[in-house]
Amino acid sequence: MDKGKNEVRLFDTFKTWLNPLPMHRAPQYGRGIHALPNTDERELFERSSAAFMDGDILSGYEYFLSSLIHQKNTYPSPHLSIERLEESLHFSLTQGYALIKGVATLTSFEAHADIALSDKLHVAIKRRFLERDFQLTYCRFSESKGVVKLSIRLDNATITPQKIFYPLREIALNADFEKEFIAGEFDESLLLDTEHLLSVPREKIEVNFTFMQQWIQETKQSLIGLLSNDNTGMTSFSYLALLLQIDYLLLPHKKMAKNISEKINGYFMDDEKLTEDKNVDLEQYLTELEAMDIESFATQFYNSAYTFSPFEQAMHDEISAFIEESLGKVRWYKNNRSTYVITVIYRYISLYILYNYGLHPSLRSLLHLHVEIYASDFFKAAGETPLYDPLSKSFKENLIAQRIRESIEPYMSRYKGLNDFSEHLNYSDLDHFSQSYYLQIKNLDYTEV
Amino acid sequence: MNTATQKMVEQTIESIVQITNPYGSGSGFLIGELIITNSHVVSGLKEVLISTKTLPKTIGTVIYDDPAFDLAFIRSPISIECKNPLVLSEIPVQDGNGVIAIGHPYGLNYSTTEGIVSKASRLQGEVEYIQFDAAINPGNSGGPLLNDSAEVIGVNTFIIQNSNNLGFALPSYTLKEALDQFRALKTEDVIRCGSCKNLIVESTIQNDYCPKCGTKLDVAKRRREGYKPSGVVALIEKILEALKINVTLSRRSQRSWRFEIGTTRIDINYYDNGIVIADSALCRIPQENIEALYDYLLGENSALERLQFSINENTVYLSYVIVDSSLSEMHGTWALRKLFDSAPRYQKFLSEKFKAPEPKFDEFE
Repeated sequence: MDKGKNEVRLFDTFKTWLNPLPMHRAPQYGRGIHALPNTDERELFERSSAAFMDGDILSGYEYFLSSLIHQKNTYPSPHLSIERLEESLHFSLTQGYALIKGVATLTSFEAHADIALSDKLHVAIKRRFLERDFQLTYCRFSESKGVVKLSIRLDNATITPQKIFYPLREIALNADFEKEFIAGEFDESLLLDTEHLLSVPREKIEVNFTFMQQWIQETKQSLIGLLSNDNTGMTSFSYLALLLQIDYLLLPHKKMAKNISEKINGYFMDDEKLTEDKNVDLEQYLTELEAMDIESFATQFYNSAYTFSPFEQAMHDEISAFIEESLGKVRWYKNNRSTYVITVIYRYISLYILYNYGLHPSLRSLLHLHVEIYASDFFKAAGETPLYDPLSKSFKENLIAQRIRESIEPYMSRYKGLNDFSEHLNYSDLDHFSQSYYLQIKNLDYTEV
Repeated sequence: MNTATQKMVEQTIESIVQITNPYGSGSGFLIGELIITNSHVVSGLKEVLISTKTLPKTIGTVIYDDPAFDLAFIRSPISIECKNPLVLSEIPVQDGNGVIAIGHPYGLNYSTTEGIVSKASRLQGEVEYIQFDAAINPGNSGGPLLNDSAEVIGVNTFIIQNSNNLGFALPSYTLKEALDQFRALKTEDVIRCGSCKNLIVESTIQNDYCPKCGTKLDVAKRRREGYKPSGVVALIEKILEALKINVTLSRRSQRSWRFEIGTTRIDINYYDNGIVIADSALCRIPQENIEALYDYLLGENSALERLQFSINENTVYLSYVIVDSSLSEMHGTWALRKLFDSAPRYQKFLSEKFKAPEPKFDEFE
């Protein structure tokens, strides 16, 4: 390490002491919440419990619902609003495509999401709703006055915040999921409560479209000349990494999201199909995406806030095991002189984790940082300072270190093995950086103090 | 199996008993007025559910429990008529003899398998068993092992798990000896001590110790304590009793109950994830007017309080679903009463209005 770099780091350290690091930004990409959890979440939850125990039912609901309000919500309107009246409390919350409205009284709690107009629904959707009724625990689909809704009703007799959380999450996640399903499979014009959906600016759509085309072409180009017999795994990594990247960075909805999900899950779930055949499926879908015109592409996007994460938070051991296994594959390809795929696998690791696991906000931020470094062109186009220059192959080391600190330091007092590892990274090239970065992430310890 | 043997086996079916208790289920068979089974099938309880081809589910009394030979005798409150009663074979069993096992493996009623005696006498601990290769599985326990003349040569007792057809039956001569000893006492509620092998009349036992040799008699303790549900299971049973459901007759396991309201079947299951589901399979999907049926069910869901219609595979269900921590006696009683009242009514209505066929009940449970 040279003297200049040491001086810069020393200066950064002094600067940090004088100006405490701000809380990191929640990544605005990927599926789920694009905001950080309420800092008072735990306290509000406990106050809710206490209020219910004291028989102050409406306060119990108010504290509980307040605990769900995110900080640094970037959407123009609140994702959850509460209105308390003398003998009731009304609320509404957004969850992607769904809008949940509810009312708590002294004796009960009711919430519903209007899904669609029943007279236009395809018979398959009606069947699906009745089948979902068999699977759901708390909420149910029903039809009244021409409207199909998903609803829950709870008695307050033994109410606790936990007993509200799970039903409310179930209705929110399922209302969003089912509306997305209808939009993906059938005519979405019959869907109700869509006013909260924000359109994505045309300029942004065009940029996203251009990047998608570019990524598909680059990926296809990179695979030309690979011997198919020897490289099925490499081809899979390339296609899957690309689909995961499209999903994470562009965040499509409706049919496109559904198809991507089906292709990715189909790849991992279908044990009977040969990998070669799975690759053909992935390639065909990428060709379909490549042939898509921008007008069709534009219909697949909207912005909306999410109140609940669709994922259960994974144990860090699971994430570590996945990284370990993936780095093992990197070693195998390295030993077999297949250097092309190594960079792809490094890109794939963070995208796969972000797509499949519920993550602690700091870990999510760290993995997003890796994606940001790899897709620096995309982030540059989005107005961000690029963290890596592919031409000069150089990193913005200080910025990266700062982002790592911002992701970790707010949580260091809570978790015993959470340390700023920015000084332990290898910036000699992209592959070495990734190797050192994942090793550090793998060794983070989220055991609470 | 030749035709003559096949016919004889068919005639024995009326003597085969299904035995259920909250801890599990098994098989048994009638010898005279007594139902013979394994001790482990009755799980140390004094009362178990018995049923045969002619006897509907009835509470039977375990009057003899013998953990030493893994035997138990049950008395049925209702006489079970058999035109061709089973008899104990007096012919010595030889290696290579043909055998037939009958029972209810995994609840699959009256399953018959055939094989040969692999070894006529195999000692396990202090007890001799017949080793045979006819396939038996959990649920076969307590059922009879028959020879080619459909006489009982043993009581199917255990298998070696993950083996290929290594089954073991308690020989009929051991059963006959136990029956003779028991009948000689001319009393009921008898336990055999696992240590001194003496038959002990339950009323003479103090603090669960064998009055002859002083060994602790676990089975005496279990019989004294009986089956005592607690927590949510107890609450469910309390609600069912309040709704005049015979809880003992409806228990299928510690967390599962089944009974009929008229001809409509109701199932209640309390799952490990804490969800309690009471439901009734009302009908199958008809071939016509299917969408109208869906519209009707979705419409009813908006009017129904606490209950809901749903479809699983090809069957329409009416259900009450509740998380255990939210189940209260008042609301639970209200909801289950409504389910019991509504299910038969809806079943009739769906059949008449939509020509929905009756549900088919899976035997693989």
